[in-house]
Amino acid sequence: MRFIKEDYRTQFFNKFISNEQLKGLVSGFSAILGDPTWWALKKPTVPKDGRPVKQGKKCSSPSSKPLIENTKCLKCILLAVKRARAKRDTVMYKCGYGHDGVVMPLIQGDKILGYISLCNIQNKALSTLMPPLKSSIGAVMDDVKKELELSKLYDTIRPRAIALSTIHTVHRVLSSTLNLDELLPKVARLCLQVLRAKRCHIMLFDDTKKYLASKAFIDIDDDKAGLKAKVKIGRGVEGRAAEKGEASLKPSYICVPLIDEDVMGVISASQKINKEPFSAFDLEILTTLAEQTVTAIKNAQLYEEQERIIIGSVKSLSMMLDAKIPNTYVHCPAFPNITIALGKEMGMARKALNSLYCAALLHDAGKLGMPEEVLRKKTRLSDKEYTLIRKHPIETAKILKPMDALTPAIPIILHHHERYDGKGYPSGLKGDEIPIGARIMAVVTAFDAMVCKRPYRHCATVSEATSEIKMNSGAQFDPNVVKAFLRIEERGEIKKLLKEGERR
Amino acid sequence: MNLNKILNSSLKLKIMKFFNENRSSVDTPRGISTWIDADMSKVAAALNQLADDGVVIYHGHGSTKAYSYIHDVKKVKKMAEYLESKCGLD
Repeated sequence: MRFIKEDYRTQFFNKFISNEQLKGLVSGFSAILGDPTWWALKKPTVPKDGRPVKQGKKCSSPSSKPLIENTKCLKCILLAVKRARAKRDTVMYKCGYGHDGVVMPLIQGDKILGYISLCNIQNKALSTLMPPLKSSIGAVMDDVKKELELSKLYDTIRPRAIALSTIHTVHRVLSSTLNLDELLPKVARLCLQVLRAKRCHIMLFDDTKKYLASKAFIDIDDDKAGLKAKVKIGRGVEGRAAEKGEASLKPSYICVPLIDEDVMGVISASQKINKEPFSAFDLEILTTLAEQTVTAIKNAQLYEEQERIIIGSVKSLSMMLDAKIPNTYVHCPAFPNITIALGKEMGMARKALNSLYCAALLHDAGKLGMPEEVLRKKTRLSDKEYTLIRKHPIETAKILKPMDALTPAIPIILHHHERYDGKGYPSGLKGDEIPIGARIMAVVTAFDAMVCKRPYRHCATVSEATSEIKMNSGAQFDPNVVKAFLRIEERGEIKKLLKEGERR
Repeated sequence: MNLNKILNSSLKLKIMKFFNENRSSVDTPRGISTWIDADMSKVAAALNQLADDGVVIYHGHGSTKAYSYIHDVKKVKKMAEYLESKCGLD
Protein backbone atom coordinates (compact mmCIF):
# COMPACT_ATOMS: atom_id res chain seq x y z
CA MET A 1 0.00 0.00 0.00
CA ARG A 2 2.92 2.37 0.65
CA PHE A 3 3.90 1.87 -2.96
CA ILE A 4 0.71 3.46 -4.29
CA LYS A 5 1.24 6.65 -2.27
CA GLU A 6 4.65 7.30 -3.87
CA ASP A 7 4.76 9.56 -6.89
CA TYR A 8 5.04 8.24 -10.39
CA ARG A 9 8.72 9.26 -10.78
CA THR A 10 9.71 7.20 -7.72
CA GLN A 11 7.58 4.26 -8.82
CA PHE A 12 9.07 4.42 -12.29
CA PHE A 13 12.64 4.81 -11.08
CA ASN A 14 12.38 1.94 -8.59
CA LYS A 15 10.82 -0.37 -11.15
CA PHE A 16 13.38 0.69 -13.76
CA ILE A 17 16.48 -0.04 -11.71
CA SER A 18 15.10 -3.41 -10.59
CA ASN A 19 13.97 -4.40 -14.10
CA GLU A 20 15.33 -7.76 -15.22
CA GLN A 21 15.64 -6.58 -18.84
CA LEU A 22 17.82 -3.68 -17.64
CA LYS A 23 20.08 -6.10 -15.76
CA GLY A 24 20.59 -8.11 -18.97
CA LEU A 25 21.22 -4.93 -20.94
CA VAL A 26 23.79 -3.66 -18.41
CA SER A 27 25.59 -6.97 -18.50
CA GLY A 28 25.60 -7.15 -22.33
CA PHE A 29 26.71 -3.55 -22.92
CA SER A 30 29.29 -3.75 -20.11
CA ALA A 31 31.12 -6.42 -22.09
CA ILE A 32 31.12 -4.27 -25.24
CA LEU A 33 31.98 -0.96 -23.51
CA GLY A 34 34.90 -2.33 -21.48
CA ASP A 35 33.21 -2.85 -18.13
CA PRO A 36 32.13 0.69 -17.17
CA THR A 37 30.50 1.60 -13.84
CA TRP A 38 26.74 2.20 -14.23
CA TRP A 39 24.96 4.79 -12.13
CA ALA A 40 21.25 5.53 -11.92
CA LEU A 41 20.04 8.90 -10.54
CA LYS A 42 16.50 9.98 -9.95
CA LYS A 43 17.22 13.72 -9.87
CA PRO A 44 20.15 15.96 -10.82
CA THR A 45 20.94 16.45 -7.14
CA VAL A 46 23.15 14.64 -4.68
CA PRO A 47 21.50 11.26 -4.02
CA LYS A 48 21.22 10.19 -0.40
CA ASP A 49 22.27 6.62 -0.90
CA GLY A 50 23.38 6.45 -4.53
CA ARG A 51 25.27 3.27 -5.32
CA PRO A 52 26.29 2.05 -8.77
CA VAL A 53 23.89 -0.20 -10.65
CA LYS A 54 26.98 -2.11 -11.70
CA GLN A 55 30.51 -1.58 -10.46
CA GLY A 56 33.11 -1.71 -13.26
CA LYS A 57 36.22 -3.58 -12.17
CA LYS A 58 38.62 -1.26 -13.97
CA CYS A 59 37.21 1.91 -12.43
CA SER A 60 39.78 3.62 -10.21
CA SER A 61 37.18 5.50 -8.21
CA PRO A 62 36.17 4.15 -4.78
CA SER A 63 32.73 3.48 -6.22
CA SER A 64 31.83 0.78 -3.75
CA LYS A 65 31.10 3.71 -1.44
CA PRO A 66 27.81 5.61 -1.74
CA LEU A 67 27.95 8.17 -4.55
CA ILE A 68 27.66 10.98 -2.01
CA GLU A 69 31.09 10.05 -0.65
CA ASN A 70 32.61 9.82 -4.14
CA THR A 71 32.99 13.57 -4.44
CA LYS A 72 35.33 13.39 -7.42
CA CYS A 73 32.95 11.21 -9.45
CA LEU A 74 29.89 12.93 -8.12
CA LYS A 75 30.99 16.37 -9.27
CA CYS A 76 31.55 15.20 -12.88
CA ILE A 77 28.39 13.11 -13.03
CA LEU A 78 26.17 15.86 -11.62
CA LEU A 79 27.58 18.39 -14.05
CA ALA A 80 26.90 16.00 -16.93
CA VAL A 81 23.43 15.24 -15.57
CA LYS A 82 22.60 18.95 -15.48
CA ARG A 83 23.79 19.31 -19.07
CA ALA A 84 21.73 16.31 -20.09
CA ARG A 85 18.67 17.76 -18.37
CA ALA A 86 19.14 21.12 -20.17
CA LYS A 87 19.76 19.42 -23.51
CA ARG A 88 17.13 16.70 -22.88
CA ASP A 89 19.54 14.33 -24.60
CA THR A 90 22.58 12.16 -24.00
CA VAL A 91 25.82 13.95 -23.12
CA MET A 92 29.40 12.70 -22.90
CA TYR A 93 31.93 13.74 -20.27
CA LYS A 94 35.41 13.07 -18.85
CA CYS A 95 35.41 11.99 -15.23
CA GLY A 96 37.76 13.22 -12.53
CA TYR A 97 40.10 10.32 -13.29
CA GLY A 98 40.15 11.21 -17.00
CA HIS A 99 37.88 8.41 -18.14
CA ASP A 100 35.10 8.72 -20.75
CA GLY A 101 31.56 8.79 -19.47
CA VAL A 102 28.05 9.30 -20.71
CA VAL A 103 24.78 10.49 -19.10
CA MET A 104 21.48 9.53 -20.63
CA PRO A 105 18.23 11.15 -19.43
CA LEU A 106 15.25 8.81 -19.03
CA ILE A 107 12.63 10.82 -20.91
CA GLN A 108 8.98 9.89 -20.98
CA GLY A 109 6.69 12.35 -22.74
CA ASP A 110 7.72 15.78 -21.46
CA LYS A 111 9.11 14.48 -18.19
CA ILE A 112 12.62 13.36 -17.25
CA LEU A 113 12.17 10.48 -14.82
CA GLY A 114 15.84 9.86 -14.05
CA TYR A 115 19.31 9.51 -15.49
CA ILE A 116 21.63 6.67 -16.39
CA SER A 117 25.34 7.39 -16.23
CA LEU A 118 28.16 5.16 -17.46
CA CYS A 119 31.66 5.95 -16.10
CA ASN A 120 35.02 4.69 -17.31
CA ILE A 121 33.99 3.57 -20.78
CA GLN A 122 36.97 1.86 -22.42
CA ASN A 123 35.56 1.40 -25.92
CA LYS A 124 36.53 4.25 -28.24
CA ALA A 125 33.67 3.54 -30.64
CA LEU A 126 31.23 4.93 -28.05
CA SER A 127 29.38 7.17 -30.53
CA THR A 128 28.61 4.12 -32.73
CA LEU A 129 27.31 2.19 -29.74
CA MET A 130 25.10 5.00 -28.44
CA PRO A 131 22.10 4.47 -30.76
CA PRO A 132 21.64 0.76 -29.85
CA LEU A 133 22.20 1.57 -26.14
CA LYS A 134 19.60 4.39 -26.26
CA SER A 135 17.16 2.18 -28.09
CA SER A 136 17.65 -0.65 -25.57
CA ILE A 137 17.19 1.72 -22.61
CA GLY A 138 14.07 3.04 -24.37
CA ALA A 139 12.71 -0.52 -24.66
CA VAL A 140 13.26 -1.06 -20.90
CA MET A 141 11.48 2.24 -20.19
CA ASP A 142 8.51 1.16 -22.32
CA ASP A 143 8.45 -2.14 -20.48
CA VAL A 144 8.45 -0.39 -17.08
CA LYS A 145 5.79 2.08 -18.26
CA LYS A 146 3.50 -0.79 -19.33
CA GLU A 147 4.15 -2.60 -16.06
CA LEU A 148 3.20 0.51 -14.09
CA GLU A 149 0.09 1.09 -16.19
CA LEU A 150 -0.99 -2.50 -15.63
CA SER A 151 -0.30 -2.19 -11.92
CA LYS A 152 -2.32 1.06 -11.74
CA LEU A 153 -5.16 -0.55 -13.68
CA TYR A 154 -5.07 -3.56 -11.34
CA ASP A 155 -5.08 -1.36 -8.24
CA THR A 156 -8.03 0.63 -9.63
CA ILE A 157 -10.12 -2.19 -11.05
CA ARG A 158 -9.58 -4.95 -8.48
CA PRO A 159 -11.29 -3.23 -5.49
CA ARG A 160 -14.20 -2.24 -7.76
CA ALA A 161 -14.49 -5.75 -9.16
CA ILE A 162 -14.47 -7.14 -5.60
CA ALA A 163 -17.16 -4.61 -4.57
CA LEU A 164 -19.23 -5.54 -7.63
CA SER A 165 -18.85 -9.21 -6.83
CA THR A 166 -20.00 -8.46 -3.26
CA ILE A 167 -23.13 -6.71 -4.55
CA HIS A 168 -23.82 -9.63 -6.86
CA THR A 169 -23.34 -12.17 -4.05
CA VAL A 170 -25.59 -10.19 -1.69
CA HIS A 171 -28.23 -10.09 -4.43
CA ARG A 172 -27.98 -13.88 -4.82
CA VAL A 173 -28.28 -14.50 -1.09
CA LEU A 174 -31.25 -12.15 -0.76
CA SER A 175 -33.13 -13.38 -3.81
CA SER A 176 -32.85 -16.98 -2.62
CA THR A 177 -34.48 -16.08 0.72
CA LEU A 178 -38.25 -16.27 0.34
CA ASN A 179 -39.14 -16.22 4.02
CA LEU A 180 -39.73 -12.64 5.22
CA ASP A 181 -38.87 -13.50 8.83
CA GLU A 182 -35.46 -14.73 7.73
CA LEU A 183 -34.93 -12.14 5.01
CA LEU A 184 -34.79 -8.88 6.96
CA PRO A 185 -32.30 -9.98 9.66
CA LYS A 186 -30.20 -11.37 6.82
CA VAL A 187 -30.31 -8.01 4.99
CA ALA A 188 -29.30 -6.25 8.22
CA ARG A 189 -26.34 -8.60 8.74
CA LEU A 190 -25.16 -8.23 5.15
CA CYS A 191 -25.54 -4.45 5.43
CA LEU A 192 -23.29 -4.40 8.51
CA GLN A 193 -20.79 -6.52 6.66
CA VAL A 194 -20.69 -4.47 3.48
CA LEU A 195 -20.59 -1.08 5.26
CA ARG A 196 -18.42 -2.35 8.16
CA ALA A 197 -20.88 -0.66 10.51
CA LYS A 198 -21.82 -1.58 14.09
CA ARG A 199 -25.61 -1.34 13.88
CA CYS A 200 -28.26 -1.79 11.22
CA HIS A 201 -31.99 -1.19 11.56
CA ILE A 202 -34.73 -2.05 9.07
CA MET A 203 -38.17 -0.51 9.54
CA LEU A 204 -41.28 -1.01 7.44
CA PHE A 205 -44.57 0.89 7.39
CA ASP A 206 -47.16 -0.65 9.68
CA ASP A 207 -50.76 -1.26 8.54
CA THR A 208 -51.82 2.29 9.46
CA LYS A 209 -49.02 3.72 7.26
CA LYS A 210 -48.50 6.31 10.00
CA TYR A 211 -45.68 4.55 11.79
CA LEU A 212 -42.51 2.70 10.91
CA ALA A 213 -42.36 -0.65 12.69
CA SER A 214 -38.98 -2.12 13.60
CA LYS A 215 -38.51 -5.36 11.62
CA ALA A 216 -34.83 -6.17 12.11
CA PHE A 217 -32.17 -4.65 14.34
CA ILE A 218 -28.65 -6.01 14.56
CA ASP A 219 -26.01 -4.64 16.92
CA ILE A 220 -22.61 -6.34 16.71
CA ASP A 221 -21.84 -5.29 20.29
CA ASP A 222 -25.11 -6.71 21.61
CA ASP A 223 -26.22 -10.15 20.39
CA LYS A 224 -29.45 -9.91 22.32
CA ALA A 225 -30.56 -6.53 20.96
CA GLY A 226 -34.28 -6.75 20.26
CA LEU A 227 -36.50 -4.76 17.96
CA LYS A 228 -36.93 -1.03 18.60
CA ALA A 229 -40.01 1.07 19.24
CA LYS A 230 -42.27 2.31 16.45
CA VAL A 231 -41.35 5.63 14.87
CA LYS A 232 -43.96 8.13 13.68
CA ILE A 233 -43.62 9.18 10.04
CA GLY A 234 -41.85 12.54 9.86
CA ARG A 235 -40.16 12.10 13.27
CA GLY A 236 -36.48 11.35 13.69
CA VAL A 237 -34.04 10.59 10.87
CA GLU A 238 -35.87 7.40 9.85
CA GLY A 239 -39.31 9.03 9.98
CA ARG A 240 -38.15 11.96 7.86
CA ALA A 241 -36.38 9.68 5.34
CA ALA A 242 -39.60 7.67 5.01
CA GLU A 243 -41.76 10.81 4.70
CA LYS A 244 -39.61 12.50 2.06
CA GLY A 245 -38.32 9.35 0.37
CA GLU A 246 -34.82 10.80 0.61
CA ALA A 247 -31.58 9.33 1.90
CA SER A 248 -29.70 10.90 4.78
CA LEU A 249 -25.91 10.80 5.14
CA LYS A 250 -24.30 11.88 8.41
CA PRO A 251 -20.74 11.13 9.61
CA SER A 252 -21.90 8.40 11.97
CA TYR A 253 -25.30 7.58 10.50
CA ILE A 254 -26.70 6.65 7.13
CA CYS A 255 -30.35 6.06 6.23
CA VAL A 256 -31.91 5.10 2.88
CA PRO A 257 -35.62 4.72 2.11
CA LEU A 258 -36.89 1.40 0.76
CA ILE A 259 -38.85 2.42 -2.31
CA ASP A 260 -41.01 0.21 -4.46
CA GLU A 261 -43.81 2.20 -6.12
CA ASP A 262 -44.07 4.15 -2.85
CA VAL A 263 -41.84 4.24 0.19
CA MET A 264 -42.29 0.97 2.12
CA GLY A 265 -39.73 1.56 4.88
CA VAL A 266 -36.14 2.54 5.63
CA ILE A 267 -32.80 0.85 6.18
CA SER A 268 -30.24 2.60 8.35
CA ALA A 269 -26.74 1.90 9.61
CA SER A 270 -24.72 3.63 12.29
CA GLN A 271 -21.12 3.88 13.45
CA LYS A 272 -18.38 2.43 11.30
CA ILE A 273 -16.18 -0.17 12.97
CA ASN A 274 -13.04 1.81 12.09
CA LYS A 275 -14.71 5.00 13.46
CA GLU A 276 -14.38 6.72 10.07
CA PRO A 277 -17.34 8.77 8.80
CA PHE A 278 -19.77 7.27 6.31
CA SER A 279 -18.90 8.32 2.75
CA ALA A 280 -20.78 8.96 -0.47
CA PHE A 281 -19.56 5.52 -1.58
CA ASP A 282 -21.26 3.98 1.49
CA LEU A 283 -24.46 5.80 0.52
CA GLU A 284 -24.18 4.38 -2.99
CA ILE A 285 -23.67 0.86 -1.61
CA LEU A 286 -26.58 1.16 0.86
CA THR A 287 -28.84 2.53 -1.90
CA THR A 288 -28.02 -0.53 -4.05
CA LEU A 289 -28.62 -2.79 -1.06
CA ALA A 290 -31.95 -1.03 -0.39
CA GLU A 291 -33.03 -1.64 -4.00
CA GLN A 292 -32.11 -5.32 -3.70
CA THR A 293 -33.94 -5.51 -0.38
CA VAL A 294 -37.13 -4.10 -1.90
CA THR A 295 -37.01 -6.70 -4.69
CA ALA A 296 -36.35 -9.46 -2.17
CA ILE A 297 -39.21 -8.26 0.10
CA LYS A 298 -41.60 -8.17 -2.86
CA ASN A 299 -40.49 -11.66 -3.95
CA ALA A 300 -40.95 -13.03 -0.43
CA GLN A 301 -44.36 -11.34 -0.12
CA LEU A 302 -45.46 -12.75 -3.50
CA TYR A 303 -44.20 -16.19 -2.52
CA GLU A 304 -46.08 -16.07 0.79
CA GLU A 305 -49.22 -14.88 -1.00
CA GLN A 306 -48.89 -17.74 -3.50
CA GLU A 307 -48.46 -20.18 -0.62
CA ARG A 308 -51.57 -18.78 1.08
CA ILE A 309 -53.55 -19.14 -2.17
CA ILE A 310 -52.44 -22.76 -2.60
CA ILE A 311 -53.16 -23.69 1.02
CA GLY A 312 -56.51 -21.86 0.84
CA SER A 313 -57.49 -23.74 -2.34
CA VAL A 314 -56.45 -27.06 -0.82
CA LYS A 315 -58.45 -26.29 2.35
CA SER A 316 -61.54 -25.41 0.27
CA LEU A 317 -61.18 -28.62 -1.71
CA SER A 318 -60.82 -30.61 1.50
CA MET A 319 -63.93 -28.93 2.99
CA MET A 320 -65.90 -29.76 -0.16
CA LEU A 321 -64.86 -33.41 0.16
CA ASP A 322 -65.77 -33.46 3.84
CA ALA A 323 -69.16 -31.94 3.13
CA LYS A 324 -69.99 -34.85 0.81
CA ILE A 325 -69.43 -37.67 3.33
CA PRO A 326 -68.04 -36.38 6.64
CA ASN A 327 -64.98 -38.17 8.12
CA THR A 328 -64.42 -40.17 4.92
CA TYR A 329 -62.31 -38.07 2.61
CA VAL A 330 -60.67 -36.08 5.37
CA HIS A 331 -59.82 -36.94 8.95
CA CYS A 332 -60.62 -35.18 12.20
CA PRO A 333 -59.96 -31.39 12.22
CA ALA A 334 -56.78 -31.83 14.28
CA PHE A 335 -55.28 -34.31 11.79
CA PRO A 336 -53.37 -31.81 9.57
CA ASN A 337 -52.02 -29.91 12.59
CA ILE A 338 -50.84 -33.09 14.36
CA THR A 339 -49.12 -34.10 11.10
CA ILE A 340 -47.38 -30.71 10.92
CA ALA A 341 -46.39 -30.87 14.61
CA LEU A 342 -44.80 -34.26 13.97
CA GLY A 343 -43.13 -32.97 10.77
CA LYS A 344 -41.63 -30.08 12.76
CA GLU A 345 -40.46 -32.46 15.47
CA MET A 346 -38.74 -34.48 12.72
CA GLY A 347 -36.92 -31.29 11.64
CA MET A 348 -38.63 -30.83 8.27
CA ALA A 349 -38.04 -27.52 6.47
CA ARG A 350 -40.81 -25.02 5.87
CA LYS A 351 -41.31 -25.95 2.20
CA ALA A 352 -41.53 -29.67 3.02
CA LEU A 353 -43.98 -28.89 5.84
CA ASN A 354 -46.25 -27.08 3.38
CA SER A 355 -46.29 -30.16 1.12
CA LEU A 356 -46.98 -32.34 4.16
CA TYR A 357 -49.87 -30.07 5.14
CA CYS A 358 -51.43 -30.27 1.65
CA ALA A 359 -50.96 -34.06 1.66
CA ALA A 360 -52.64 -34.28 5.08
CA LEU A 361 -55.65 -32.35 3.79
CA LEU A 362 -56.10 -34.22 0.52
CA HIS A 363 -54.56 -37.68 0.97
CA ASP A 364 -57.91 -39.49 0.72
CA ALA A 365 -59.38 -37.42 -2.13
CA GLY A 366 -59.10 -40.49 -4.39
CA LYS A 367 -61.99 -42.09 -2.48
CA LEU A 368 -64.19 -39.67 -4.44
CA GLY A 369 -64.25 -42.16 -7.30
CA MET A 370 -65.22 -45.10 -5.03
CA PRO A 371 -68.85 -46.25 -4.64
CA GLU A 372 -70.53 -44.45 -1.73
CA GLU A 373 -72.03 -47.71 -0.37
CA VAL A 374 -68.50 -49.07 0.10
CA LEU A 375 -67.31 -45.91 1.81
CA ARG A 376 -70.38 -45.78 4.08
CA LYS A 377 -70.32 -49.51 4.87
CA LYS A 378 -70.26 -50.19 8.64
CA THR A 379 -69.59 -53.93 8.38
CA ARG A 380 -66.41 -55.71 7.28
CA LEU A 381 -65.42 -55.07 3.63
CA SER A 382 -65.37 -57.95 1.14
CA ASP A 383 -62.03 -58.80 -0.56
CA LYS A 384 -63.21 -57.12 -3.74
CA GLU A 385 -64.22 -53.95 -1.84
CA TYR A 386 -60.96 -53.95 0.10
CA THR A 387 -58.97 -54.22 -3.15
CA LEU A 388 -60.91 -51.24 -4.45
CA ILE A 389 -60.24 -49.19 -1.29
CA ARG A 390 -56.52 -49.99 -1.47
CA LYS A 391 -56.40 -48.16 -4.81
CA HIS A 392 -57.30 -44.77 -3.26
CA PRO A 393 -53.71 -43.47 -2.88
CA ILE A 394 -53.12 -44.05 -6.61
CA GLU A 395 -56.46 -42.43 -7.46
CA THR A 396 -55.66 -39.44 -5.24
CA ALA A 397 -52.27 -39.02 -6.92
CA LYS A 398 -54.01 -39.10 -10.34
CA ILE A 399 -56.52 -36.42 -9.30
CA LEU A 400 -53.83 -34.10 -7.91
CA LYS A 401 -51.24 -34.62 -10.66
CA PRO A 402 -52.43 -31.69 -12.84
CA MET A 403 -51.86 -29.28 -9.91
CA ASP A 404 -48.14 -28.44 -10.26
CA ALA A 405 -48.05 -26.76 -6.85
CA LEU A 406 -48.96 -30.10 -5.24
CA THR A 407 -46.29 -32.18 -7.03
CA PRO A 408 -44.11 -32.49 -3.86
CA ALA A 409 -47.18 -33.72 -1.91
CA ILE A 410 -47.95 -36.58 -4.34
CA PRO A 411 -45.25 -39.07 -3.14
CA ILE A 412 -46.47 -38.52 0.44
CA ILE A 413 -50.07 -39.22 -0.58
CA LEU A 414 -49.14 -42.15 -2.80
CA HIS A 415 -47.19 -43.96 -0.07
CA HIS A 416 -48.95 -43.04 3.19
CA HIS A 417 -50.30 -46.62 3.46
CA GLU A 418 -46.86 -48.24 3.07
CA ARG A 419 -45.55 -50.07 6.13
CA TYR A 420 -42.01 -49.75 7.49
CA ASP A 421 -41.59 -53.55 7.19
CA GLY A 422 -42.58 -53.48 3.48
CA LYS A 423 -46.01 -55.09 3.92
CA GLY A 424 -48.01 -51.98 3.03
CA TYR A 425 -49.53 -50.73 -0.23
CA PRO A 426 -49.58 -49.68 -3.06
CA SER A 427 -45.85 -50.33 -3.81
CA GLY A 428 -44.68 -52.42 -0.85
CA LEU A 429 -41.87 -49.93 -0.14
CA LYS A 430 -39.73 -50.63 2.92
CA GLY A 431 -37.90 -48.50 5.52
CA ASP A 432 -36.25 -45.35 4.13
CA GLU A 433 -37.59 -46.12 0.64
CA ILE A 434 -40.85 -44.64 1.90
CA PRO A 435 -40.81 -40.82 1.71
CA ILE A 436 -40.41 -39.29 5.17
CA GLY A 437 -43.68 -37.35 4.80
CA ALA A 438 -45.50 -40.62 4.09
CA ARG A 439 -43.89 -42.30 7.15
CA ILE A 440 -45.10 -39.36 9.27
CA MET A 441 -48.60 -39.53 7.78
CA ALA A 442 -48.76 -43.29 8.37
CA VAL A 443 -48.40 -42.70 12.13
CA VAL A 444 -50.87 -39.82 12.28
CA THR A 445 -53.42 -41.59 10.03
CA ALA A 446 -53.36 -44.63 12.34
CA PHE A 447 -53.62 -42.41 15.44
CA ASP A 448 -56.51 -40.49 13.90
CA ALA A 449 -58.32 -43.71 12.96
CA MET A 450 -58.07 -44.84 16.58
CA VAL A 451 -58.95 -41.66 18.50
CA CYS A 452 -61.30 -39.67 16.27
CA LYS A 453 -65.00 -40.29 16.61
CA ARG A 454 -66.65 -42.51 14.00
CA PRO A 455 -70.34 -43.38 14.14
CA TYR A 456 -69.60 -47.06 13.59
CA ARG A 457 -66.76 -47.89 15.93
CA HIS A 458 -65.28 -47.59 19.39
CA CYS A 459 -63.07 -44.57 19.95
CA ALA A 460 -59.72 -45.18 21.72
CA THR A 461 -58.17 -42.78 24.22
CA VAL A 462 -54.99 -40.88 23.31
CA SER A 463 -53.02 -43.06 25.69
CA GLU A 464 -54.45 -46.30 24.19
CA ALA A 465 -53.73 -45.11 20.65
CA THR A 466 -50.21 -44.01 21.63
CA SER A 467 -49.48 -47.45 23.16
CA GLU A 468 -50.72 -49.12 19.96
CA ILE A 469 -48.42 -46.92 17.86
CA LYS A 470 -45.51 -47.67 20.18
CA MET A 471 -46.23 -51.39 19.86
CA ASN A 472 -46.06 -51.21 16.05
CA SER A 473 -42.81 -49.22 15.96
CA GLY A 474 -40.37 -50.86 13.54
CA ALA A 475 -43.08 -53.01 11.92
CA GLN A 476 -45.84 -50.72 10.68
CA PHE A 477 -44.13 -47.45 11.61
CA ASP A 478 -40.70 -45.84 11.33
CA PRO A 479 -39.18 -46.06 14.87
CA ASN A 480 -37.75 -42.52 14.58
CA VAL A 481 -41.15 -41.11 13.68
CA VAL A 482 -42.72 -43.02 16.58
CA LYS A 483 -40.08 -41.59 18.97
CA ALA A 484 -40.87 -38.08 17.72
CA PHE A 485 -44.60 -38.75 18.11
CA LEU A 486 -44.07 -39.92 21.69
CA ARG A 487 -42.06 -36.78 22.46
CA ILE A 488 -44.82 -34.43 21.29
CA GLU A 489 -47.42 -36.56 23.03
CA GLU A 490 -45.45 -36.38 26.29
CA ARG A 491 -45.32 -32.60 25.96
CA GLY A 492 -49.12 -32.61 25.77
CA GLU A 493 -49.18 -31.16 22.26
CA ILE A 494 -51.40 -33.93 20.80
CA LYS A 495 -54.15 -33.45 23.38
CA LYS A 496 -53.96 -29.69 22.93
CA LEU A 497 -54.30 -30.00 19.14
CA LEU A 498 -57.21 -32.43 19.49
CA LYS A 499 -59.03 -29.98 21.79
CA GLU A 500 -58.38 -27.11 19.38
CA GLY A 501 -59.81 -29.28 16.57
CA GLU A 502 -62.96 -30.01 18.55
CA ARG A 503 -63.58 -26.28 19.08
CA ARG A 504 -63.64 -25.63 15.31
CA MET B 1 -8.14 -17.84 19.03
CA ASN B 2 -5.10 -19.95 18.15
CA LEU B 3 -4.22 -18.61 14.72
CA ASN B 4 -1.32 -21.02 14.20
CA LYS B 5 -3.82 -23.84 14.53
CA ILE B 6 -6.61 -22.18 12.52
CA LEU B 7 -4.44 -20.93 9.65
CA ASN B 8 -2.70 -24.27 9.17
CA SER B 9 -2.32 -24.05 5.39
CA SER B 10 -1.04 -21.56 2.86
CA LEU B 11 -4.51 -21.54 1.26
CA LYS B 12 -6.19 -20.48 4.52
CA LEU B 13 -3.53 -17.76 4.91
CA LYS B 14 -4.29 -16.53 1.37
CA ILE B 15 -8.03 -16.49 2.07
CA MET B 16 -7.63 -14.56 5.31
CA LYS B 17 -5.19 -12.17 3.63
CA PHE B 18 -7.87 -11.50 1.02
CA PHE B 19 -10.50 -10.80 3.68
CA ASN B 20 -8.09 -8.67 5.69
CA GLU B 21 -7.45 -6.52 2.62
CA ASN B 22 -11.10 -6.49 1.52
CA ARG B 23 -13.01 -6.34 4.79
CA SER B 24 -16.33 -5.37 3.20
CA SER B 25 -16.30 -8.27 0.78
CA VAL B 26 -19.07 -10.86 0.80
CA ASP B 27 -18.34 -13.53 -1.77
CA THR B 28 -18.92 -17.09 -2.87
CA PRO B 29 -16.20 -19.77 -2.87
CA ARG B 30 -16.04 -19.33 -6.66
CA GLY B 31 -15.53 -15.55 -6.32
CA ILE B 32 -12.90 -15.88 -3.61
CA SER B 33 -11.04 -18.58 -5.54
CA THR B 34 -10.88 -16.14 -8.49
CA TRP B 35 -9.50 -13.29 -6.37
CA ILE B 36 -6.79 -15.42 -4.78
CA ASP B 37 -6.17 -17.61 -7.85
CA ALA B 38 -6.77 -20.97 -6.18
CA ASP B 39 -8.78 -24.14 -6.79
CA MET B 40 -12.48 -23.57 -6.08
CA SER B 41 -13.25 -26.86 -4.34
CA LYS B 42 -10.24 -26.46 -2.02
CA VAL B 43 -11.26 -22.85 -1.29
CA ALA B 44 -14.84 -24.01 -0.52
CA ALA B 45 -13.55 -26.61 1.96
CA ALA B 46 -11.13 -24.14 3.57
CA LEU B 47 -13.87 -21.49 3.91
CA ASN B 48 -16.10 -24.03 5.58
CA GLN B 49 -13.39 -24.79 8.15
CA LEU B 50 -12.60 -21.10 8.67
CA ALA B 51 -16.30 -20.44 9.32
CA ASP B 52 -16.34 -23.31 11.86
CA ASP B 53 -13.27 -21.75 13.49
CA GLY B 54 -15.09 -18.42 13.72
CA VAL B 55 -12.77 -16.27 11.60
CA VAL B 56 -15.15 -15.84 8.68
CA ILE B 57 -18.95 -15.48 8.67
CA TYR B 58 -21.22 -17.74 6.60
CA HIS B 59 -24.15 -15.95 4.94
CA GLY B 60 -25.50 -18.65 2.67
CA HIS B 61 -29.02 -19.67 1.93
CA GLY B 62 -29.96 -22.87 0.11
CA SER B 63 -27.51 -23.45 -2.69
CA THR B 64 -25.99 -19.96 -2.36
CA LYS B 65 -22.94 -20.07 -0.12
CA ALA B 66 -21.37 -16.73 0.79
CA TYR B 67 -18.66 -15.77 3.27
CA SER B 68 -17.34 -12.54 4.76
CA TYR B 69 -14.84 -11.29 7.32
CA ILE B 70 -15.60 -11.21 11.04
CA HIS B 71 -16.62 -7.95 12.77
CA ASP B 72 -14.95 -8.34 16.16
CA VAL B 73 -12.44 -5.48 16.34
CA LYS B 74 -10.02 -7.33 18.64
CA LYS B 75 -10.06 -10.49 16.53
CA VAL B 76 -9.60 -8.48 13.32
CA LYS B 77 -6.62 -6.66 14.85
CA LYS B 78 -5.06 -9.91 16.02
CA MET B 79 -5.61 -11.46 12.60
CA ALA B 80 -4.09 -8.43 10.81
CA GLU B 81 -0.98 -8.58 13.03
CA TYR B 82 -0.66 -12.31 12.49
CA LEU B 83 -1.01 -11.99 8.72
CA GLU B 84 1.54 -9.18 8.64
CA SER B 85 4.02 -11.33 10.54
CA LYS B 86 3.39 -14.26 8.20
CA CYS B 87 2.91 -12.57 4.82
CA GLY B 88 4.40 -9.08 5.29
CA LEU B 89 3.00 -5.88 3.82
CA ASP B 90 2.23 -5.59 0.14
